[in-house]
Amino acid sequence: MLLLVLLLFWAQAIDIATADRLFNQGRYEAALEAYQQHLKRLPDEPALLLRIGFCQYSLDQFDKAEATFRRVLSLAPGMPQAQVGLGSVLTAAGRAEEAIPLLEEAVKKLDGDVQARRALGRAYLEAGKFIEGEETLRALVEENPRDWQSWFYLGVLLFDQNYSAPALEALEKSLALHPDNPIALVYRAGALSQLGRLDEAEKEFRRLAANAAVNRSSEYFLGYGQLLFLKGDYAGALAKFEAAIERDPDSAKLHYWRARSLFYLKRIDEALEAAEKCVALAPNMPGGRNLLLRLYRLKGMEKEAAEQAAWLRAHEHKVAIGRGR
Amino acid sequence: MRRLAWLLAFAGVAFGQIRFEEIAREAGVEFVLRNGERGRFRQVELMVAGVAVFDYNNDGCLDIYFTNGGALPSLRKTGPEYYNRLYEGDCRLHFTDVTEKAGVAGEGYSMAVATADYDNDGDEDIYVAGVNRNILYRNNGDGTFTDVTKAVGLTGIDPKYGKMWAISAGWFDYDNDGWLDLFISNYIVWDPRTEPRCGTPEVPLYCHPDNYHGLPDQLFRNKGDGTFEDVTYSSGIGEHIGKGMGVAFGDFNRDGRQDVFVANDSVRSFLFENTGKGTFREVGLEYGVALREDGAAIAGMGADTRDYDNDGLPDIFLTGMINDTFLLFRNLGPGLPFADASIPSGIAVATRQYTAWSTGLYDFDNDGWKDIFCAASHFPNLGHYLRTDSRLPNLLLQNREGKRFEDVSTRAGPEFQERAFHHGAAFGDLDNDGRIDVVVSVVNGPAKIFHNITESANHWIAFDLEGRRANRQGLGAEITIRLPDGSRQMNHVQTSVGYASSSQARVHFGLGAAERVEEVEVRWPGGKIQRLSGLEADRVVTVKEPE
Repeated sequence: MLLLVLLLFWAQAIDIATADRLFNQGRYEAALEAYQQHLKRLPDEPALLLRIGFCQYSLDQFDKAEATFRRVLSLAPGMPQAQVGLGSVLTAAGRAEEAIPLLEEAVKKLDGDVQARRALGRAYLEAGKFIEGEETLRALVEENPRDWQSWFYLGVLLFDQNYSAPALEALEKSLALHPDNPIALVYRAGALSQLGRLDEAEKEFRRLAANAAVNRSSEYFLGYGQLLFLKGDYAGALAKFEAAIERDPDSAKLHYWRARSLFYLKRIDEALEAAEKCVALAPNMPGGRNLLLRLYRLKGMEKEAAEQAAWLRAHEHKVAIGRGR
Repeated sequence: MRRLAWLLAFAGVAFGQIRFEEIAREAGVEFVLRNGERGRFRQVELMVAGVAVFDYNNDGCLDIYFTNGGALPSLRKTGPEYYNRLYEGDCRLHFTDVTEKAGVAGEGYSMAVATADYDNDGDEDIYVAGVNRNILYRNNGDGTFTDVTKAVGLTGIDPKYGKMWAISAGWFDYDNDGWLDLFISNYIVWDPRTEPRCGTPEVPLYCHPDNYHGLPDQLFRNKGDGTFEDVTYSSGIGEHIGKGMGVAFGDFNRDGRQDVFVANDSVRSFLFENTGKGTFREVGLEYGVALREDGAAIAGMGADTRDYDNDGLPDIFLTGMINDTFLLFRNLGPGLPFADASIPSGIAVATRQYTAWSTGLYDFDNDGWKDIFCAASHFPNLGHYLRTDSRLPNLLLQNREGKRFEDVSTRAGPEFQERAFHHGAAFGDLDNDGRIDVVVSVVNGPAKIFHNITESANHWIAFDLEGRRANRQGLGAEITIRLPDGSRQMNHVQTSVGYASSSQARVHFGLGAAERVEEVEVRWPGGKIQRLSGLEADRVVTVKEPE
């Protein structure tokens, strides 16, 4: 919102108030159409292209948005609003490492603009840069305790780092300000689970079962299944993981959890098959390899077990013993 | 006793609830473990230090030895505040500082202590391991010790890595020749001049171990003539680079030989299987104890290897860092991988929010099931991100018949709730009342002695072993008892317990309601079996190995 206010500076001469109103109402398709009408008249106007880019971004048209923002930057090199737009698109597209330098530059130029900083905080979150992300997002919520988006990103950041108690606190603050964020609700249930508040977490997952925005996602079933697994309800967990696999059949993580549940239910042959499927889908996933190793050993398949052990040893040498070794 | 139970219940104290009172100050122990920190967040500061309970003067009363840090970056004990300290106990929970008289103040920046009678002369010696400086103090038998490190070949200097940073050490007899050998776990290549900086200028943090190169552990064979041979590489131990933390021993595959478990920091744990030919195979992955079940290497800290489910097989427990969950591996028998019992036992949920260092599996309430004590604290400044205090109260997990563990910390007494940077912990019966007490070191704070005051009608029995062909203390021997109801328990003799610490060699069993033990079987190192029968409860039995 604030960014759009800033954008007005760049588009003083253009009468696009109607399109802006549509954008501000969240009617992105209509706004996009209106902006594109103006584009015929002003094909190289950066401020107009910028608006189009944000519409495309809001409509999850990341490829188009990226191209639009890059065009803006070719017309107005270093334009910080376009850097924010491009950084946000790259973050959403899973390229947060590329986004961070752009966003850091934009934050400096925009003198600490909230939206730019929030975008940077989110990029840190997605890139796994915990310390930088925590610092950025924490500052935002301290400046404005009603900033529900920053509370949400901070909650997710803390959750991903397994700081469950402060994650729960941040998610609850976000939900208190903006209760209709289904993803925050799923994360909240997950944080309760991590904190060992299993009954409360289960209650949340049951409540979410009625929420159409989340109850069809594989993440929901994965989180619910993991909770049941922690509670020792391996059969219940298996049912949830299988429901998740129906929605996302090529997720190695889901096949891993299915294999683990089957293993705990002593259905060793089925567990072995599921673990092999997991490793086939994600050969670099240590959890799948470790489970497969255990299962091969239980089946007396020592040669196959040795292959998994060799892979795990080689993997660790690559990632963990020490830099430069 | 029944009346007492009723009175306690009336007073709001649960009968059978494990309870401790903290008595260090009134016991005369005012030791402060100092890490020399000056706001630079040097890695060594984080890792101090261990504690031992042992009987150095053979008076039947446990004594306490604390290791201590040093000034930084010199790594020197520049004043008495950095001395290691020996406190002599009188069996009545009073201790006297005899450090100077005994000559065991130490040198350098100390980390670990390992006590045992390495020369089979009837008194326990002290090995101190630390940063670039290890010391063997031979007990002279007259209340004094002599530094014999160089003379016996235990400086710990590696031909490839030179002086190393040791975190833990432990005595065991890997070749069953009757002489105790020494295992040292080493941590990382560290130099104060090249210490990386981590965190932010506002919130500095200790760096993750990934920032440093790992080191091999070491093994020294006792030649029986008072000297040691470095067999680190010929035994195969030196082939494996880790970031060694706690060390514990056990005959995991039931072949009569001692194997070694090493908890590593953020890389996989090691299980060194003793081949019986002077060599070891590292089989942690094959036996399922190297990683958490999801393939993650936890920040392993302290370890203990005892039979928690009374099936006669030594299991493995290790502590870790917040969100790791501590790990409990159940031994399923020779040839089979261990089962990861962390989730089914409730350990995973109970420990997820904890960071803990030393640990031990002991039957604190004498109900016949070994409970778990963990010396807990997060890393300094981590509390900034956790939005909580980095200091923690200790963690006490009560064993529910070998199936589940319940966190009973909040009911263990008011002093048990106090937060501190708890690190080292050693276990033993300080007042010989049949209840296991705990001595805990605290970084930059006063040490704690948790006197076990659990009220119960349960009985106990304990065994001191005296080897003849085996090593004098019988380290590595297994003791199995059978009670009148046919139930059995197994425990083994070891002093290397937890993190950087050393515990009483005496083997303690809780007997529940049983007033006698029907049969005792001692499996001495080397395989000799000795049986005793019809022993009355509530006493310490000395068992001498037959000629």
